[in-house]
Amino acid sequence: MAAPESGDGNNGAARMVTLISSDNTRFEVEAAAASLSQTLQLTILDGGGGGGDGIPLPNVDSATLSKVLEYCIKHAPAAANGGAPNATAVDRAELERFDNEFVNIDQSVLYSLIMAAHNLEIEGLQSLVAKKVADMIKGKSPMEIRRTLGFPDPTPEEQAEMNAHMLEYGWAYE
Amino acid sequence: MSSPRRARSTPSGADQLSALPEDVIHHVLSLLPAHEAVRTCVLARRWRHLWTSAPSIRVTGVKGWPDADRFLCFVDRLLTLHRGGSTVLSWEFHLDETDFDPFFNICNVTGKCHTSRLMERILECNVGTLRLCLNNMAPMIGIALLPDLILVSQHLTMLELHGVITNGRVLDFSGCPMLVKMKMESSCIDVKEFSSASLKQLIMVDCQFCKEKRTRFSLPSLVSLELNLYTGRAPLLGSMSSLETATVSLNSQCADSCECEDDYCDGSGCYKDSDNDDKSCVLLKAYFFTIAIA
Repeated sequence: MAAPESGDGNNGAARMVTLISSDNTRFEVEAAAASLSQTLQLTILDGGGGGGDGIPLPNVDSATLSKVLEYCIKHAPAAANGGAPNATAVDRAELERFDNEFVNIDQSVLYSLIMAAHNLEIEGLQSLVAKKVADMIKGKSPMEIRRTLGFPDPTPEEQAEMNAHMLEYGWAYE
Repeated sequence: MSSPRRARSTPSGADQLSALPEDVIHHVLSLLPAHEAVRTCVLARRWRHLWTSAPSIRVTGVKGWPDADRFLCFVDRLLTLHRGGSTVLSWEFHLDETDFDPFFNICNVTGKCHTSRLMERILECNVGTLRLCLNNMAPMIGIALLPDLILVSQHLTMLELHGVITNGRVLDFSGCPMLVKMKMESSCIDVKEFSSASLKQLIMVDCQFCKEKRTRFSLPSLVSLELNLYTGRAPLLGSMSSLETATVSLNSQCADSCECEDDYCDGSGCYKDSDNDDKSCVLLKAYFFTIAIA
């Protein structure tokens, strides 16, 4: 589906909307970029978010929102082309490079981003951050997974429970 | 514009991760092979059973399984757990010869794992999509063999088979009324009849058909057909009144491949019906016939 007012008509001036973070910072962004969010898309289609109004986002703080919008702005042109079936290999490689760098972030930022992507229903970003977490788990032993994801070492009781669970599924717990 | 302020007292990564909604964690777990997803049970009590309810399951052969029994026990537990369930949307069963440790006794798997039965059990979990990939396994063992495959499922909509050998009399999907999409790749089709009343899209890539006899395709609802023959005789296509697109290509090793010296012939143009010793093009005739009806 084409994003609203993606440049044709209206003298080429892209429509802007304002988003307000939980800590009251206002972000002005092209409607096409904000519409990557399924949650915002309907409001924007109804003409909301323009002028002095702004759309309040009580669940997203300004640091996270600025990161989310960085993603949306980068991905909006491709999304406007319906997933960019005719994008060049160069464009796609550039988006991939951007994505890889984009999730190369501190874990606490990553988790805030996961929550924001989930609340705002931004499909591409949801997949990207989920894949990042999966990659953090992949190929690791149970202990390494715990340490990578910042869990403290288990107590002896927890350890015993885990052993039992793993053995139930045929896994030797190293 | 923005003036990002840094967060106040930040909760630990573990707390934040544990606070994520269940469907977000399921999304992450769906991206992991099942034997890796199971390890996340070590994270916290909440995670202990989360991996078992993820909507898609991927079972892959992997280095690290100490022996075939452990591997099969794991698969068995998974199947028992999901039997009759409604949470699993897709199952992928992916065994690759190179995934296994060279010391892993593959024969133990083949001796104890009957692939047809395995597929039946996966379908008992009410899955919508089933992918069975047996890369490079076919030449060494019988695991890829699916004799007289007759599947029954009210939920299956998509089936993907990679590296399997179907033989016997039939490849019958009349028991799968919701099946609309099917893909077979690098597989061997040695059956008399391949039938499905519901199938709309069929893709067959690098498939080997029998050299001696033709398989009859009885796929009346087919809309899109992509057929890429590696060897053997091209199938006989029954009436397909809804067919909109068809792409057919024959490898030079196919029994039907054209040997004429016409520069414009790509090898599939003169697809002969040698049973009748008739040199007319049966495939294209069938194809044009369906177009004429449509």
